[in-house]
Amino acid sequence: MSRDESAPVATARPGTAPVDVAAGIEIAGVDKVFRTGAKTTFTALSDVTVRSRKGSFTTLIGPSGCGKSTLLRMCAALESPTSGSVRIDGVPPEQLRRRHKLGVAFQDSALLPWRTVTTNIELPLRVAGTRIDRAAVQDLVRLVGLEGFESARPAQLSGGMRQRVAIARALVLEPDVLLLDEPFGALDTMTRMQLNDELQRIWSERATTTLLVTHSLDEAVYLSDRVIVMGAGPGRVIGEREVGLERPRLAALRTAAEFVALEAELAAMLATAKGAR
Amino acid sequence: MTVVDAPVRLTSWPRRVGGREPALRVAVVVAVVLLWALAARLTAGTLVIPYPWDAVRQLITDLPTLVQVNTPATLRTALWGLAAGAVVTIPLALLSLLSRTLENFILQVAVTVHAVPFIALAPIVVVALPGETARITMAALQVYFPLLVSTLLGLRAADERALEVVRVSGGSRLDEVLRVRLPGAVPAMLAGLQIAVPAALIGALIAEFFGTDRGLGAFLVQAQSDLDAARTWGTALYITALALAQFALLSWVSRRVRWSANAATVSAVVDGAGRVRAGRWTVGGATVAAVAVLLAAWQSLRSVFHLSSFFVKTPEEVLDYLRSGGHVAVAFLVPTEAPSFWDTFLPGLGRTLTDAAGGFVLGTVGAAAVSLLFISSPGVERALLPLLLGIRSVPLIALVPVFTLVIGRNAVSTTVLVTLITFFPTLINVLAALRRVPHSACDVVTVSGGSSAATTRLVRLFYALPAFVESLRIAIPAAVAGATLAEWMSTGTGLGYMLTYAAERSDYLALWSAGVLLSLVVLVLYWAAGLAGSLLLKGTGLDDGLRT
Repeated sequence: MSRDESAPVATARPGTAPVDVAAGIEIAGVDKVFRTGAKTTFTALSDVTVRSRKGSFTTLIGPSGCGKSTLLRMCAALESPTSGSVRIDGVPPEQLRRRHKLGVAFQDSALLPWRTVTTNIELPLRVAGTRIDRAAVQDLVRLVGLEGFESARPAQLSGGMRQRVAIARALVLEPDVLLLDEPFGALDTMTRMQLNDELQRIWSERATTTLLVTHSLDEAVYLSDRVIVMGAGPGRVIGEREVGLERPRLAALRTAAEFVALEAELAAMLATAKGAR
Repeated sequence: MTVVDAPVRLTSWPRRVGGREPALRVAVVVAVVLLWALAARLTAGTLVIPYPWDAVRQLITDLPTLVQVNTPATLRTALWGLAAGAVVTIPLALLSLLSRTLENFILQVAVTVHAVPFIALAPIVVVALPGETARITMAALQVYFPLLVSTLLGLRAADERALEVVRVSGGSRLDEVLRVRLPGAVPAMLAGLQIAVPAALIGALIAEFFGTDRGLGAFLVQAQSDLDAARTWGTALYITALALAQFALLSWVSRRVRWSANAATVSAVVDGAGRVRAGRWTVGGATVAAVAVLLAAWQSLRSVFHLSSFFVKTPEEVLDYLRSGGHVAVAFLVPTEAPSFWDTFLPGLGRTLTDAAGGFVLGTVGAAAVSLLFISSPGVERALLPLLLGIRSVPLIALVPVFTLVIGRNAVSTTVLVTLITFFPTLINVLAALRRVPHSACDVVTVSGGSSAATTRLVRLFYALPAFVESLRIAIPAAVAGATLAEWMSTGTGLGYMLTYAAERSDYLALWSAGVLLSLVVLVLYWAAGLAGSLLLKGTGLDDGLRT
């Protein structure tokens, strides 16, 4: 159904803007093989190539077990590829990590229960050993809409509020890359849409190279410049779409023909991925 | 408290699975044997540490007697104790499902009885009940607590949704218990058994110290008083092997139960029994009720159970004795010249608390230090954890004759014993807590560019703090029990000696009074530690935080 089916992997397609190879995220020919027993192995990722421009918003979608989280964890230097390479702005992610230039948020907010909203946001600064700029932290609190909750503990916050704190914490180092692993995956649809809007606003204010992993097609189209579709067994890239919709995107866009068509197209790609197994 | 199955761990391809771990374990065992041999070489001539091979040779000579006569006697006592403990405990645990207040009440009674030091109870039990029954009672008293707490936790941890499915399908409460709660409690109960079975062994062994002609405990004491180093060490080796064998058997059974959770995690939870959440008033009310019931039970020992008035004193008699400042019985002195009770008790209490405190502090500090060492090298921890779990099942406290033989009848041997008793459970609990730290929280620190030391400092230590605080509390009764036992069997000082001396002189009023007072002191310390712990956790915000 799509002219892209013939494309073996998602690389820069002819016709799109030329990719600056020294900037943004560059995942090239990555394999990841896990050992499951004495003689058995499991191939989580097979020959995955993904490129994204500096300052752009890229989303990975795909069925469970397609290795999209593993790919994101490689960008965070939490996993290493069995073969292939991962570079961010031309350097290995370890190097960015050492320079305290990565930001990450997970589905589980991973807030420390004994710290307040403010001190949770400050955690990466403590790790980096940099001076804590109270005004900057306060700006972040305002940015994620948590004024008045500065000294609340995580137990006193709702799930959505906790994720806001996690996003603020991911931004506090002013990272070169923002890595979001299903940050809204555990939230209800209403909260999720609201946080999508907020994330878009935050991202527009500080255009940071962002990699998002999600299950939601709606979220992927709404937020991204580019959506990468992955298939499972083994995890691989089966296609990609540029999202040309103008920003700022508003909630009403979700019902626009262009939006719906794109979403349907992505859904069809995912369906063929399943059929291919 | 929910218990989660450990996920199947995927190991990244380039790293080999388990290559170094067995090697490290063997290395540790070899190192221990070498150290033992070295110690024997250094102390040659003092006849307290035999060479490992001499101990093994003696053990082989003794083996027929040990296997045919002494092991059956000890195991019979331990197993009957275990059975008695289970028969009392499981109905109580089921009963406590009926209401939270009832559960609190049952737990308060259990905690109070659990805090009574062995030495305060044993002399009375031994004279008031016939030999075998007395020993079984002592074993059962060691067993019921871990059994009760693990069963309760297991029953309570049932999946709310699964219960609702039964309820919606029109099931009764009985269906809930039979189909969901009891099967769900099996893993926790197995974990409880991993603590209860060694406890039964401890109970049986120590009960045998009080005088019987057969049994491993009796054999060990006899060997030590003969100053037969090879036989003492050989018997200790045998008891250790027995404990490890039962540990291996239970671990095997636990693995067979396919829905079984990680044993280390559950037993840490079982150890951390006190962490039952309830309103302050419910707990307060339950405590008052528990004290009242225990006093009534004490009062009824004579009238209802027809125990001899010579051995068994009533609360009234003890109170009168304490108020009148009675005298303790001392050989060769007429009663009026004998020292008063308080003049004997108070210095004894001071001695006992000092003895307990030394080992308690050393064991705690040691456990904290070693767990920090383990965090920084997870490979070493993975390799050594099975050994540590095995060592925990060794009845160290019942090996007091070995310590006496080696170190002598002085305070050092008491300190070493109490240190060991404190060290292993605290270490295992803290390690289990460190394993439960959410990975994502550590990942955030790592991705921000933090070292593993930063992860420890900012995340892990805080998550391990509640388990550490709880371990300190659990260690209090254990430390006092160890100190009093060593005082009786080795140093001849403190309350351990006072209590057994009173028993020897048939001075039952002094025995009851000192036993009750010592138990009260332990309970107060235990409660105070609990209070201090919860204040500390509240202060750090860990209290409400970890509940989410």
